[in-house]
Amino acid sequence: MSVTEIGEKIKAGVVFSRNMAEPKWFKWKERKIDVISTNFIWNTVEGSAMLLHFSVSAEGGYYELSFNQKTLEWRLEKTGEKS
Amino acid sequence: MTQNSRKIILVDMNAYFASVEQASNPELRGKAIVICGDGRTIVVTASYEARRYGIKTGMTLPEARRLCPFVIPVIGNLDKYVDVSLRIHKIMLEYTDQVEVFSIDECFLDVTGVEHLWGGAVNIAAGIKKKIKEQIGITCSAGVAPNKVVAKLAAKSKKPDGLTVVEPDEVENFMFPLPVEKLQGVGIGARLSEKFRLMGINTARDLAMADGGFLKARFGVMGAFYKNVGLGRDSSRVKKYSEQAPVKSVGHSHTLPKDTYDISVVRSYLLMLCEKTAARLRGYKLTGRTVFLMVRFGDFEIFSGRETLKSCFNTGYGIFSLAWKIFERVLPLKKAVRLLGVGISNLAGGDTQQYLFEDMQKKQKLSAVMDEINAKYGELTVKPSSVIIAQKHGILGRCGIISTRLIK
Repeated sequence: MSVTEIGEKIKAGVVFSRNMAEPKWFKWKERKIDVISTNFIWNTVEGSAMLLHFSVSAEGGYYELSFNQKTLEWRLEKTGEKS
Repeated sequence: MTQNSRKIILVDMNAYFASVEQASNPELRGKAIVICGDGRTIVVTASYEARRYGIKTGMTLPEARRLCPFVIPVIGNLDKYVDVSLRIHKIMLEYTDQVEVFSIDECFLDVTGVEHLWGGAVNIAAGIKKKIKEQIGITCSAGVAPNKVVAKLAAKSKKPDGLTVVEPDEVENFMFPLPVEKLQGVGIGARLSEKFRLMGINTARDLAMADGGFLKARFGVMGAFYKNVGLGRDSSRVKKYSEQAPVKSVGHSHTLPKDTYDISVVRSYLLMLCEKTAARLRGYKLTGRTVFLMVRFGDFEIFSGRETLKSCFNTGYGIFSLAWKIFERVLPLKKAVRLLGVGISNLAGGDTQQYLFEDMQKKQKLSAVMDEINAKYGELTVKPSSVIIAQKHGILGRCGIISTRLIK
């Protein structure tokens, strides 16, 4: 598989529980993509903002989402979509 | 407390970067993957599945593909690995504050004073391995021994997912049969082990039994150190997590997306690296006097040089001026440039020197303003205009510095 850099804003549906955020679906290019599992979460810093990154699996393949805790913006950073 | 009564653990993550990527993406699990930089590539690390094909760190991607045509290259993400490392440190800090970060994927722990709380050092090592596996999803190897040298070699002896214990009375039995090549990583590098071989020192036992006077004559004060390594003796302590190693130099390097003879492109990248270095230096509240430059050409030949000023500074312009002066020694270019590295050393703490001349004062003020904006909106949101040339040539995310987000 190959991973493609995207870097686009998306809408995301998220469940907040046990002090964690878990994306459940997101909309990209007019497609609603349901998240099957969140595989990995990590933090980075961009300027003065803390970003939460999520590696998730969905039917279409693998996706990396990010959530900017300052702007409250969700982005689709990368995809590893199955051909 | 005698040295032999210490309980030291070395935790070494297995194929760390590759393991993190496989934990992150289930599609990569069980597959031969290599971690590379963006663009063209040197293998930074390979998964255990890839290593079975002979793929090693330092190979080019084409070389790796020749050994394993279906190997999957994954672009490395240092921010991710650093964050995961910090989470691993938190696990270790649950047991003791004597956690010394040896590298991004290795830590020493001294559990001598706390092992009784956890049922022994081996239980602590096993507990750390289990928590890392459960919380992060990756494996590590651990070595438990009376000192750091033996603990490190013990951890290395079983990978992946090993737990090796060397009791004080087992140290010689463990160390002596090791070939000198196996002593790499504890102060004996590849070249030194070659020298030992030429001297007839083939194993740790040979090194331990070598005449101390002979080793001193050959290696100076390090002779005694090497003899102790052979004996499995080491009295160095494990630092506390809160102890920070002093910064001795700050630098950045970058592999260009393609080899180039274009001086304007080289200049642009060099300026970018200098600005990045200077920003970090200012962040540490340090200044420096010696700038060093490394250039790797397309045929992998390396040129390096350094220049030192009498006074300290920490502006991108200041670093660039010296770096460019060094670079001019290789002009006109006979070979294309592949990689640039720049750094500054001879560091001093405290505020920057107050310049007498107005133009230098302006540059200082400008640097301070740039730092403030870049800190808020992202590294190099504000950048010298000549850096834009590097952007057009193909700036790479792993330089990690170009923010494409606009100030709104």
